[in-house]
Amino acid sequence: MRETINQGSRSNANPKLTEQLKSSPAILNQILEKYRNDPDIDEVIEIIRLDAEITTRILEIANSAAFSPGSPVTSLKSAVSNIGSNEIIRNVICLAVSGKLDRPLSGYGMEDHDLWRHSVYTAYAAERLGQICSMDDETVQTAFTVGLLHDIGKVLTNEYLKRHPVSPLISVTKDGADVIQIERNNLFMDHAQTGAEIIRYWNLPEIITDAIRYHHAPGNTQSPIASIVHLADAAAHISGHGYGFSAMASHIDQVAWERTGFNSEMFYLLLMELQIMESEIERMMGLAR
Amino acid sequence: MMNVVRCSSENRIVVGIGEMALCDEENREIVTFSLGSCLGISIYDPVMKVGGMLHVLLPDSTIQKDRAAVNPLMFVDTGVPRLFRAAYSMGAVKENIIVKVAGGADMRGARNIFNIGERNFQSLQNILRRNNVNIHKQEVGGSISRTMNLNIATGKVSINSPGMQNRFL
Repeated sequence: MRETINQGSRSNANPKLTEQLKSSPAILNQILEKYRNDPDIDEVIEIIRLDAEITTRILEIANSAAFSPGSPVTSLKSAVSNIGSNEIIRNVICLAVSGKLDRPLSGYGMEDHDLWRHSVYTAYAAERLGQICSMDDETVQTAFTVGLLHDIGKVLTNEYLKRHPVSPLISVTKDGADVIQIERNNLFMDHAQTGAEIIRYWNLPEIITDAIRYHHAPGNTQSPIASIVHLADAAAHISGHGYGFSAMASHIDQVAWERTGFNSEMFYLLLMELQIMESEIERMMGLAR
Repeated sequence: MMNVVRCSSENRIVVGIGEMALCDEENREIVTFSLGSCLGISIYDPVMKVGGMLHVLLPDSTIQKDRAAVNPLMFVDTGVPRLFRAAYSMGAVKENIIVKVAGGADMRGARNIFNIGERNFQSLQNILRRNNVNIHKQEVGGSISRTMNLNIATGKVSINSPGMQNRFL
């Protein structure tokens, strides 16, 4: 299957980009590994400290108006006490992957920052959805990461689409075709499969690769993460953070509903909370700038 | 606290989710971006040259009364009356008002649960019918994202979506 993004797929129109995507942001693996085994924030700080660029950005964030510190924050330790360990980890994860996701995808009609904004919205929605469903902390944190990375495959499938515009994808706006089906028909694989293949090179836990692969078909895996991200993706699309030609041309799978125990009242609540969290999400989105 | 904007210093007034804007200055336009299942509701009195736009997220405030108390503009049933009242307070007259609507798209599958766009539009139709107000033009449904723009000088409403030509309602 790995060969598909190197040789077999018609989406492989840009070898340099493929290589860029395949290289793993090292800090992401380390943070996720640490979080999974023993979420001790002091050790997480030690990992962050080794990355000078991310450390600088975290200190900038902790000193920004959004967190209005009483006195200047000059160390990661005081940043943690000021803005909280979960917030620090979310910021580090976003900083680690923004360079790969913050790009326009003309083949999908997505402009500058559209993919990144959609990814951040989906990550927040997945995290909140996991909390509403009373999932454990590790599942919630994994849902955030998968939400952020779920569409990374589009960065590659876009390479084919922008060179060979697929008329059904354009007309998805009119005839209601499903974007995943159109990708499979024309590229021989879809962005979910492609994304999973990219993430396999990062050596992240299998649960992350699996959820990315099945985020449009959550019934094909036992993992609840795929269902959570499936619904979080839908929440982002429904609330206008989908973007592009295919903004809402995807199916919502009943399985995701059953697996998560989510009901319509919870979903409405999620949509409202996302709207209320808009300024926080926009701030996180701005990290990529 | 409601998110209400009346003519700001910008030529283009942007309306976010759960917000509305009213304007009576002719060199202005009101715009709302990226309507998914949300509805953009534009009202305009061509005699008084008063226009307004509301961007609602959900059909019915009774789902979450607490939230509705904080921001009634998130819901069709509590947002629409406030839009009209705000326009009346700026001199608009009910009989003159032209209503145009965009958005209300839906994803597919599990329709009874997630067809929020369709429910939003039904809720709007109900409240307008009860108040004897007609929708003059609409572009709702489907699976596309829409941006809606109201020109205060002319009352023209334009819609655009990625990959599609701009059109006027």
